[in-house]
Amino acid sequence: MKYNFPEGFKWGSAVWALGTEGALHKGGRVPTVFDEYYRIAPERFYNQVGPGETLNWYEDYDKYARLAQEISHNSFRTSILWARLMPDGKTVNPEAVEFYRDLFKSFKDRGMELSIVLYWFDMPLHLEEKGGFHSREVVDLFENYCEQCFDLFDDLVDIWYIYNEPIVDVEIKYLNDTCYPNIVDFKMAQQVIYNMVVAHAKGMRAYKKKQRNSKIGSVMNISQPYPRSNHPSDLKAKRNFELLYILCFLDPLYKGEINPEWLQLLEEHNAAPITNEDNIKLIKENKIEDIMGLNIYFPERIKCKEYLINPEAPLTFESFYDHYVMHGRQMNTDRGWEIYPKIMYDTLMWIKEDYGNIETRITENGMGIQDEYRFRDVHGQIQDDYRIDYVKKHLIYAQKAIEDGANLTGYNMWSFIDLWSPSNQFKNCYGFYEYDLQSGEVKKKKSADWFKQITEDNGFNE
Amino acid sequence: MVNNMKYEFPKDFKWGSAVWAQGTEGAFDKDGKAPTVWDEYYRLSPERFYNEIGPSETLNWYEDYDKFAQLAQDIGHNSFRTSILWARLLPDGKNVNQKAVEFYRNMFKSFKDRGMELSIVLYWFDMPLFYEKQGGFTNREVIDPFVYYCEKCFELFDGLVDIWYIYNEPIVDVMFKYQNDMCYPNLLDWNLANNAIYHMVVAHAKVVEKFNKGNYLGKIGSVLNHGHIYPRSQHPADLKAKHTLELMIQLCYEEPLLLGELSEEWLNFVKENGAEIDVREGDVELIANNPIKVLGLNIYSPERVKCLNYQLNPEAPISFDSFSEPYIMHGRQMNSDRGWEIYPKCLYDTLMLMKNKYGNPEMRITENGMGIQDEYRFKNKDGQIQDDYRIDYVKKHLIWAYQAIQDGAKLVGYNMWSFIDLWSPSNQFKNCYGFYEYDLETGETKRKKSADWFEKITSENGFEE
Repeated sequence: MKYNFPEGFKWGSAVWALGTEGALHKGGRVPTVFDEYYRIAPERFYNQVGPGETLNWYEDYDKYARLAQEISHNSFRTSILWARLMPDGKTVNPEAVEFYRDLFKSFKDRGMELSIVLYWFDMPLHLEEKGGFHSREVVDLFENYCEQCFDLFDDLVDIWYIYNEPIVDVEIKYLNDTCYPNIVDFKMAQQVIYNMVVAHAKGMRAYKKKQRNSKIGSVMNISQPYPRSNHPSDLKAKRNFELLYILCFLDPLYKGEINPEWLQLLEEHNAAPITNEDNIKLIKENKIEDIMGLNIYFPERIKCKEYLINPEAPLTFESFYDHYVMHGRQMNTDRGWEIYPKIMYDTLMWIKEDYGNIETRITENGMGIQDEYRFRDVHGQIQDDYRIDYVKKHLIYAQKAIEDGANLTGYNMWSFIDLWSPSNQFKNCYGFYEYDLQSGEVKKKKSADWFKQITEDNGFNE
Repeated sequence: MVNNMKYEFPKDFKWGSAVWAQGTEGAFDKDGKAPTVWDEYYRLSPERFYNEIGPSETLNWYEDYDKFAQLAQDIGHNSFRTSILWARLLPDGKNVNQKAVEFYRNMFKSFKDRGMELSIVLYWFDMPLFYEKQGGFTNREVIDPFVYYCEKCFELFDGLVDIWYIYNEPIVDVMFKYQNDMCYPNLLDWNLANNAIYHMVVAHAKVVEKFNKGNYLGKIGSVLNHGHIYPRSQHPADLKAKHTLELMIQLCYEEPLLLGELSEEWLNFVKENGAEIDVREGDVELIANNPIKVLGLNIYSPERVKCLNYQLNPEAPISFDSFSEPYIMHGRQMNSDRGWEIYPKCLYDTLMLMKNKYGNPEMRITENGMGIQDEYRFKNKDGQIQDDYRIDYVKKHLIWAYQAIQDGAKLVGYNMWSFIDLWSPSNQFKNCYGFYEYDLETGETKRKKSADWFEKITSENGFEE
């Protein structure tokens, strides 16, 4: 069977600024929430590897742009650190401008379409101390940051993504105790979601101030959830999940509307955000019309709560549903994630039907593996056939969705190279390239060769 | 010096093992066989099968049963159990498939001629798809077609079969299909689950009635899986949890099948929780008049249970998990590959319960054994799997079986699960249980160490320890 992709389909991969730049204290960069979290609780980081111990793209990005070119990438995604570009939150740092312009050019000049994320969990610490997105002041500063980025780099950037996985940002900081300020406060989290929606609209407003040559959107970690059964309580639980985890951002960002069911559900639990008419109007006028990035890894299977919750316990997302552990699911046991490639198809078709068939990109998809050196061959190359198999199976469903009319125009695997990740540091590695944190040595994995081939062939046989 | 204890089993005690049709026949679409619920489940969700191995990728007994009957004889078996596929024998539910008759007759002869007592199961999770599409046993209308199928089997194979088992693990069948999302139609429905139980009980009585009226050779019974239930404590809430679990998964079949008593307590319990059971005129008498006196027991691990730790969400669908939860007892021994506790005394406790409460039917252990993943890890330099863990497991259970016999339980045979590694419904080839190793790639068959050991204890009718 031959899986051909449309002409001009983009192939590539992604990284993020905090996981690749290093240079925590160089060029005027100020600390982010992750630097602070590591300072306070280094033991909570896998092998105590903090955000400073990673690659050093601040110095040697060019080498990596060449490595991306070597495997024929025609697209690439990374991000800008607010804490580097504007150390005080509002004033542009010329050293950072130079770095980012050079970095972007390095990829662009090698023929890659470049996507840049503006906010990727990496709130500058001094702004988080003001409340992060819970603070209106920070929301306004964010608009200015976005505008400066557009003005400074639009000539080099093909696609702007304002956010990457905004719901994860809220979760890790205000619900799950996995990032500074390590707060568990459901109501506050909902206000942050709303404020981030407003900040997004303001970013869009700044974008539209001038004629730009790029496209703009955001990257959503969403996939079509599956209920355990058709029992009304399971269906309701699935709907709760959709509202709380997906539609809270997706609907205002892509439809220009706060989902009324979401608001009502929160009101029932005394957790609704404070809103105002001006902002509702702003959201309506500044929805995304260009493009949607989709980070898709595993399916969400949902059932109703088996047990009543303790009425005195703080609310969390899991107060509204349970995760359903389905018999016979396939697992990536290293990551504890289910593998179900059909989510690719189901999600793309859902976006096609419900969101006006907006242009979509798979901005992340991939497989994290622990202790990947286990899979080296005699020449020392990691034989990551599991990764090839994972990506291939997901691409097959992506291609089927395209055939059925989904407007998918590119696939960027997570990740280009093994890098520092916020939840597990270097524990689980995802890259086409292996990175040895001790020696700084970089080696192609087998999947890189395979991906180069399918990029050149714009598809594959299976 | 310590004298070894000698465990000598009664004269004519039967030794052997078992397989099931769906896991050994292969040929899933040959000679007119209709699809079963497993074929359909695999068609819909191949990714939910371990390594995507479907029911068709298994042994090929449809062609080469004789070789395996020989292998059973090679290790001294004097008894064997397998099953008939309804979907093969009556592909349209009505007309007998002559090719299937020929196959089953030849296969049965192949074992019988080698001196083995033959037990045959009539229904083993393998509902023909077209009947499941009508609701399977949740639909009372499927009872008569099932009775018809059983009667055909009695007529066609009379004289070749020593023991007919109408069902194998009927509660597991219901859980797979209507509770646990482990088999097509993958439903979670309390009402359907309990209706299936009830209709299976009525169907069972009708089949026994036909068998008894027909003066067929052989005996009739059923195989029940009985994980003996132990409560965490004597706290009233734990005892209630234990009793409720018993009611839901054991008494619902054991009382009507063995005593002829449709459990009023069960009926009231499932109705109070929302099931609508239509007990029709004549059902109670039918059940009362047709209990069985031959029982197969599948025993692997105990069920430890405690009361729920939390209050149920009143909006959650009622399920078999709504009344108790598993108790993870400190210090329990585990078969970690299978995630099952190993507690050999549960075998004794079950046999004594059957003796004391259920009139001491003629009993056989129809399954007991140990599933191991990646068993090639245990090969010696000659390539033989050194499954001492299996020998140890079986031996310890046999010691408790021996003890139950001393205490009066009418246990007359032991068949290990399984004869050979085969396709299983919940894990395919992930966990292997056989006396014989089976290589799915090459089709190669090799004895494990346990086969040698079992051959010896069969010839000696016991062992020293």
